[in-house]
Amino acid sequence: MSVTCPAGAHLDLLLRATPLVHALAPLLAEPLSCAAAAFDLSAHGAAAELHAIPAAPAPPTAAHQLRALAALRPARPSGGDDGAPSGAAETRCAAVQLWALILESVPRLRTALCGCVLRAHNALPGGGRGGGGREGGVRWLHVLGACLAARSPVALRLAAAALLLRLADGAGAEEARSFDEVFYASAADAAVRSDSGRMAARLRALGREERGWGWSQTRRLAPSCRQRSRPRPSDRRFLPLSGQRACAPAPARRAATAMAMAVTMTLRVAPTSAAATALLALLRRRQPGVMETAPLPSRVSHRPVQCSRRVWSTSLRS
Amino acid sequence: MLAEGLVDLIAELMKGEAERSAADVDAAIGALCALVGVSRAAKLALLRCGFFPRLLSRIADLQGLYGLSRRAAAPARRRDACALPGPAPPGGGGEDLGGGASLDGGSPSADGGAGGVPDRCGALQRSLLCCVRLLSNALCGCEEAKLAAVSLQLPLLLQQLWAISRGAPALRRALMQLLCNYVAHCAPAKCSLIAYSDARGRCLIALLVRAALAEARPPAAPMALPLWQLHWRCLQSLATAAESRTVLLRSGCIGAAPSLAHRLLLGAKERDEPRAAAVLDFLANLAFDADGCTALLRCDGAFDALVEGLESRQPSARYAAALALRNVAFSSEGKTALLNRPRAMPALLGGLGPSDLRLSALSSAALWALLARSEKAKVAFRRGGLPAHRFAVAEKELAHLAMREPECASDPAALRAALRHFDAIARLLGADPGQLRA
Repeated sequence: MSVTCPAGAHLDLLLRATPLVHALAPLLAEPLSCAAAAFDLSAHGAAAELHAIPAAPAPPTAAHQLRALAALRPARPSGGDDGAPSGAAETRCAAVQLWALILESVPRLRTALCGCVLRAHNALPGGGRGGGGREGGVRWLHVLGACLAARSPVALRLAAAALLLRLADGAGAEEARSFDEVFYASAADAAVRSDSGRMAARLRALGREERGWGWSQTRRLAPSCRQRSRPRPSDRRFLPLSGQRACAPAPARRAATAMAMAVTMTLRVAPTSAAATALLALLRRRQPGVMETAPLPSRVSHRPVQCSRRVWSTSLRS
Repeated sequence: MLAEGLVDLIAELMKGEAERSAADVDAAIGALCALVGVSRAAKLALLRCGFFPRLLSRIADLQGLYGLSRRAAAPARRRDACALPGPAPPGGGGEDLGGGASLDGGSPSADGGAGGVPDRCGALQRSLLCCVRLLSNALCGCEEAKLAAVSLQLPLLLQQLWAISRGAPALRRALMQLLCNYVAHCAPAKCSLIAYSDARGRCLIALLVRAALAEARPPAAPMALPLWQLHWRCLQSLATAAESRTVLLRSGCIGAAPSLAHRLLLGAKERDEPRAAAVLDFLANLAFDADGCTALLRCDGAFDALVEGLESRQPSARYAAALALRNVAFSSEGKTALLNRPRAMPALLGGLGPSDLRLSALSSAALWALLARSEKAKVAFRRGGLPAHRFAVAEKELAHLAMREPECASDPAALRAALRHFDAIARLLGADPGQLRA
């Protein structure tokens, strides 16, 4: 996958790429919700937006390509066992490929991407659970890691691996620090999760054991633990990373996918300044500022392990 | 999370039997290789999730398969050569099965009949290279990973790879990088190389010495410079541990290295100063410990080779020679040798000037080591008026440079180190540094 473009156009794209990247950053995180919020996409919203690009700044060829690409409707694969992406994963796969292409064209964006922190959002993978964002946000790298997780389709994981290769290959000290921070944050999250899971298992075991001689003892011992070890219905932070998350309707998802693919293919086919300008104009039109770099106030920790030892010792005694 | 995700992906892909999954595994391993190259936390994550044993067993499997397919490819090539005398078909002949060229573009098979074996050989070599590079990156700068590799008997695998990488320059280069990363700053890793030997009783260090000292026969091209440097860097690391130094001494490396450096510095035909710099770096590390220094000074022409290195036009050779002289100057034998050779002191004093700050720092360190605890050296330094005069001139120039542009100098750290050494020398000579500067 190589991009060939005239030197001048490439330079122009390079200069304009930072705002483009900032506008596109949430696409990987949650292309569906962010793109829908940004563009108010309807079933054919992406196509309508792309058709609405004024022809004046773009040369006829680029505008023609944009229109042709916008008309593309990605075929909906079956998904599932064959490893092909489906639904939201397909959208994310398109976004990951888009990022790989952007990074190939503009390698200096690596620093911005590695240090990028998205606003904490429940819809983001890892968004409500610490998610590698120490200050309440979600690191972009953490979101990329969520794409590599075992529950994702193989195609998405391979695309994420290719993107990771582009990010890490030739990274400097600053980017290396970002990678390390993601690892440390993930390790901390894993520790919290394992504590929480162990706690819940012990409570379940305790409950089974104690049912024989009455519920009151269980309730007296660890009421707060029982409450905290389970996700509260009102607390969206405890939702799993994917799968059970509420999904937007399929037409909007298809439109977001078409959008990401259109941007990808536009940059691949016609990486000219005019195309970049047109995309920027499109993306800036209703850009809600989804991406932030300033730290947000930290959320309440949900570490529920304070009384675990007491419960365990009680269980042993019983 | 990134590393664990990639490890899971690799494990899942390796279960797949489709042909496409081999390329996918290589891609995922490449991503992991890049990640562990920049992140120490990723290396530790690999250790934590038990990836090292799996990686080593994959390398062992791949090298076995690669060896088999190379053996299968050799008769096919011979048959082709008998059937088609004359120039080899494009992409089909010679040793390109293991060469770097086939890695980049993937050389097309010669024909339909014999084309399958080279293709398979190339694919296996690509996979093997990916794994070796990943292991090399994982070991780089991570003591825990090196110790894990020691416990997993990595040298045994390295010996098999050494045998199989003969005639495959890309693989040999990756192997040498892996070996360099393995032994760097890790005494157990250096010792572990001695513990395993091949069928002829040669350990990996002996094989390495043999390859580094082998002279190319006239039709064959000499070893490529990057590979040469990797060989000598590895020997340089090995020269700092007592056990591996003993093997180096026994295998004749220490005796042969000074004459090799001399030939590379002053030889009529084989003059090659970048290569000489690599050998001088080895000698500098060898001279760091007392027994290595003694062994070096007992070799014929070793001291002269160092002085010639100091007078070389190649900066890296000059730095290495100055460092070696500094190490040598700590021992009494070295002090005697430095004072008795008429060329040594002028060569050291010539490097003190501000034109090359790093050389100035190294030369002044050598001078400091020479004058310390040696009244004879102090007397010799004071008696000859020229050394003291040149020293004072160089000191003034450096002090002037430090006052004029302390941070704008090409190497501020070297400038500070040089001034520190000058002050120490002045105190040794009984002079006040401030007075000297005035």
